[in-house]
Amino acid sequence: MSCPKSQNASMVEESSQLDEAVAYVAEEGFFASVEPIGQVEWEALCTDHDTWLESSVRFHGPVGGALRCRLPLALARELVSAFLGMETGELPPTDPLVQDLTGELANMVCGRWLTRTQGQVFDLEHPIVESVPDGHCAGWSRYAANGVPLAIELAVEGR
Amino acid sequence: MKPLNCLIVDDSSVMRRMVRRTMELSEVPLGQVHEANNGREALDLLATTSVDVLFTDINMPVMNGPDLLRALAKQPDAVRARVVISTDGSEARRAEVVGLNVDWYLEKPLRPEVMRDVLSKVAERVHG
Repeated sequence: MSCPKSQNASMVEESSQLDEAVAYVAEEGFFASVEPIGQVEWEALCTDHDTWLESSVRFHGPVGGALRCRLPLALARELVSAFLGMETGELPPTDPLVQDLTGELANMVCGRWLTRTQGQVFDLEHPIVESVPDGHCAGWSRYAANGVPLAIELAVEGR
Repeated sequence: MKPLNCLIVDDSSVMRRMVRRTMELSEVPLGQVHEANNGREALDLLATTSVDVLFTDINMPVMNGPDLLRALAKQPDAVRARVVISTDGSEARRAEVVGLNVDWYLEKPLRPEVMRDVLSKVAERVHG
């Protein structure tokens, strides 16, 4: 049985591995700079945004769970533009590519995390993307991506 | 140099666009670049179309990547090079496609320089 100290160490390691996955995908896929931030900075960054998207992807394998990403529409448009080599203004906010990219972001972060931490075969469900009213996400890992808020929640079943 | 005809198989339109863009950045001459949503669509297209290199995702509805590669393994001349592009880079997943004539296994997100290396090697193979 794990003692609280080793549980804490495991949670810190898991958080660090998630940070690595987010930074890798953002930098390699979207040429975006990502850094973890705290609550105060998060709230300050959120004030500039009133339209948010959330993508979630469920995974099944030796362990099951889900990863969710929450980000302003403005960041989704910026990332898809960088991803495809377009100017941000070229892409209408309602373009299906924006939703698709938001789903792929969750898919790639989840895949990277699973590959680096589990090393076994997992099945990832098709990502689900929806609009959400705000950036409220207590307990999630929070980041600034090119100075714009991005939150990730990783939930592993049975913990 | 004869341009390469390519097929991108992925259920995500944005990933297909991204793969196409990295191909265009490679500076390797490209001919027709076809797209399919899943393995079934890819097989239908390959029945009537000549393709030099296939890029396929793993997780797709209708027919997934390993099933597509399994079907193509019975047709060694259908495509000159077969490339998997997946979010899942685990050794266990890679082992699933061993024996299915896969030439390269790449992880998403895909770096342009990796695509350039792959296409250059495919071009060398095709032009022998």
